[in-house]
Amino acid sequence: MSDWNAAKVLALAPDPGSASAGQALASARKWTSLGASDRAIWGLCQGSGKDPYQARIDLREPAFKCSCPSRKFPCKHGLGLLLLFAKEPAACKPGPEPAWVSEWIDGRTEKAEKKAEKAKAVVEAPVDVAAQAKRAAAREERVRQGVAECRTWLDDLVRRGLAAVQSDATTECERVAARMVDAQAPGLASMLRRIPRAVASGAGWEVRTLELLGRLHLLLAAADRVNELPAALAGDVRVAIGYNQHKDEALATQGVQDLWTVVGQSFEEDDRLTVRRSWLWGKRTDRPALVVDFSVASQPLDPSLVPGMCFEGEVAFYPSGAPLRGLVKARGDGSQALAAPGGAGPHDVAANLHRFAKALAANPWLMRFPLLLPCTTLVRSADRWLLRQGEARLPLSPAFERGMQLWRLLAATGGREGTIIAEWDGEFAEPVGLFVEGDATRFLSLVARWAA
Amino acid sequence: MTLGKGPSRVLSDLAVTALLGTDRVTRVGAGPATLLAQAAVAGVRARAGRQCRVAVQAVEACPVEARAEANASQGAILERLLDSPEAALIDEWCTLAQARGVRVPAFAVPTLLDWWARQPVRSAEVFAATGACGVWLAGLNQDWQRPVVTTDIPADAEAVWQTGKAAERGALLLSVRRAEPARALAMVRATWDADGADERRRFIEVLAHGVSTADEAFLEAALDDRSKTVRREAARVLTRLPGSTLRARMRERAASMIVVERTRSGVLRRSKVTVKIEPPKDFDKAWERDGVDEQPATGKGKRAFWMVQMLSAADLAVWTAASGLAPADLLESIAEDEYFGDAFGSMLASLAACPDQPDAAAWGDAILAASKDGKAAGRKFVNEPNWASMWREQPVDRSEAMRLAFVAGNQAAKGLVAWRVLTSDSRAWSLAFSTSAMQVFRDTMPKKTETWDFWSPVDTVSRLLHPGASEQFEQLIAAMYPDGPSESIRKSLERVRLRAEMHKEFGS
Repeated sequence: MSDWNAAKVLALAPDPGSASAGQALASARKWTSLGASDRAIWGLCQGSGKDPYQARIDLREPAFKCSCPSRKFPCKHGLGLLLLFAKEPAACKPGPEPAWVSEWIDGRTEKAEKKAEKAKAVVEAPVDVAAQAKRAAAREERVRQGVAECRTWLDDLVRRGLAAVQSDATTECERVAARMVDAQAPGLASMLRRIPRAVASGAGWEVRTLELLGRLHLLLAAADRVNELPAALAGDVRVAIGYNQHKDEALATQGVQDLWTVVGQSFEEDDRLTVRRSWLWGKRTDRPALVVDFSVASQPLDPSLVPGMCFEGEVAFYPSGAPLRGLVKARGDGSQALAAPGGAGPHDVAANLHRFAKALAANPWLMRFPLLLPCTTLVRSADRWLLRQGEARLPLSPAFERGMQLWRLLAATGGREGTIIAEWDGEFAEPVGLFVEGDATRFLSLVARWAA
Repeated sequence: MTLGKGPSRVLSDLAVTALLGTDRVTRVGAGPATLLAQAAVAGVRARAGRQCRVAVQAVEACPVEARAEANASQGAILERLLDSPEAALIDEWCTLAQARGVRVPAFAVPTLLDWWARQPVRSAEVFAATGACGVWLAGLNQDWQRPVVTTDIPADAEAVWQTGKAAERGALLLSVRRAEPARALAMVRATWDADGADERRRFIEVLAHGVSTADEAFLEAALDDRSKTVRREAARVLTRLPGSTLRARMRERAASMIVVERTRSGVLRRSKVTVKIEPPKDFDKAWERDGVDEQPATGKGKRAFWMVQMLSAADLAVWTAASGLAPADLLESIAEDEYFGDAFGSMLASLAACPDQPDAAAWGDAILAASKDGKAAGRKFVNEPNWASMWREQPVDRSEAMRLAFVAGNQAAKGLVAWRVLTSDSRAWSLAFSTSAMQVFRDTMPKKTETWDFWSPVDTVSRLLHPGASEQFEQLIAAMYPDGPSESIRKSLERVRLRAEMHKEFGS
């Protein structure tokens, strides 16, 4: 049974052009030898080449493969095939998999099994322990110097007064941020780069700026004592400084088995780097998880997490004082019927903010926290828009208000109550998904990915 | 340390010191590190407990609509259209949706409205397709509250007319004109003396919709307007009004250019009629008032230029009345005249300007026949640009029939010419016409080397073609471009496919 719909498939498209081209191919007469098995669909599509392209999709994930030369991923053939399948499942007649399909799928299954085995036994046998330790020590030293340098700058800034740097905050912060990148502390760099926006934020800017400087100071102070801190907190400090966590760290932990729903995604573009945040919510444990994916120079992002998708699986969390970021360790059936997320626990604004406060107490550098807000509407205050649940309200982020997403959210709710999932940064909410209850639960993803 | 004071307050207090710099604010233990440490604690606490207390207004919910949303596949097509919007295709989608009694899916309404509000001409059909959701959202977003040409006339139409902005007044006038022509005329009269020349010209343009004898006195007066563009527009509209006194004056002038001689010759001494065309020798200043220009734009002869303008504004009956000949015989008798080309062009122009004139159908057929048979055939009249304007003014079915008749068996209308003829009317094609046109295209298909010229007509076909003839179009393109179509041709192909899919999804 297919749980795919056009919107979900199109969320996988690497760019609008591919989405459009894929839609043009979502018609049975563009294809020959369409087929389906319980785990895959496939078809042949005549392109400009001599032989028709072989497109195949592993439905369990989903994963795509096509013989066309396109560097886009998934390519338009893959998208077209899945769109067609979503529209007319009967177009792909059940039958035995041809060799070019089954070999690929078997290969994938085998690889997945190997990966799972490896995950089970995180055997530590690095090739050259000594060299690795040496590299790690060298970085520690560079970061230490960077932290010292940053502190000197920060203290000096507060000594001279914020008013003195108001006019050239951007150059000033960018200069120090570049130094932090050299010092292999990219986390510090991005904290510094957030300062100019606070400086330019109008009335009350000095309070907002000081809040950021205080947070930076806290991180610098923690960095000095990182070895004395409890393991979880030390981990959070290192992440805030910019150390990458290795997948194995998460895989080594006991995962959380649940019925997970992808409740929304958000994207951040930084130079050539695209960061995708996928927010998951577990039905039974009533807890959120964040899966972060990166792509450089518009390389494909992992297509297996699609907003609105529900799957039974195991999510493993990276060690943290407030475990939030994780990865999908194992997944079962990817085609569960959509259900609004959230378990039995309270989901009013106060409960949500209480969870945020607790997470912040454990990890004060936490940037974003997911809110799950049932029975929520949009309201206005003069020219601003806010979320309202009962008597409580939450301001929407200015960026969200300016974009088309606010209007799409408004249109989809029709001014009535819905379950809204939003990212909360402590000041503003940025909705990423909406569930509307009706005859059937409907989901709207508010990904502002291609929006200007 | 912060008993009794909330963290936000603490942070604000610290910010005062930070703003000035700890160097300038002497306080015990107020070094930068201390200040930052206090700010860190207050900052985290403030961030953990921020609450919003501003007063809010509830937003009234969108009225529930009985009309269902378009289904997912129909919605997906609309989203594709909005990715690279083409007004005609979006209009088509909305018209189909309206016909099926479904509306634009709510999630697509904002994107559609945003696009729509930026269009120079905002179609009422599109707005109507957004249903209650569109009205509701437009009420919440100022950018979307744009004038729209609707059939509903606001209760305070006259007040809006007096105070509205130019675009608003233009849209309002058109709405009123369509429903109550006389009221529109009264509105134009009411502010006429205060309106600028550009506005006056635009209003006359609107009056061209459903122009009748009731408008004539006003338009006659506008022939003496102080602005030349207004005078010209008034003359143009009066030329299009059957039986107007302007047309009568033009007919009188035209008659003086048609010289008829009757001679008796042969054994039976049968009467023979010869018709000669004689353009006027001098320019009469009185003509100018009726929109006749004195100076030709290009190196055309002045006399022929004056003549063409007047013949084009006169009923074709002037020819038959003067000579007593039927249209076909008349055309035959002037076929070798020095001014035949000019006369032929003005006949087409006359049919274009006033398609409802007496005997229009008979004249149309005769002109069509003359271009293919008889003395005039084989000359360059197939390229006469007025053909296209004439066809465009006919009812759709008549235009289609005439265009097909024109290319059928016309030796001069081959290849690109046939394509241009068939694509010269921008109204949507019927299925029968589409099928016949595809056949003509197959028969007059260009050689491989010439296909470049065909980009523009192929593009036009892809917009007008009846979706039922999509298969034939695909076959035609495949036959024309055996090595695969170029990028631009592929675009046309995509458009045809998209339209076919759209019609299929709406089951039409």
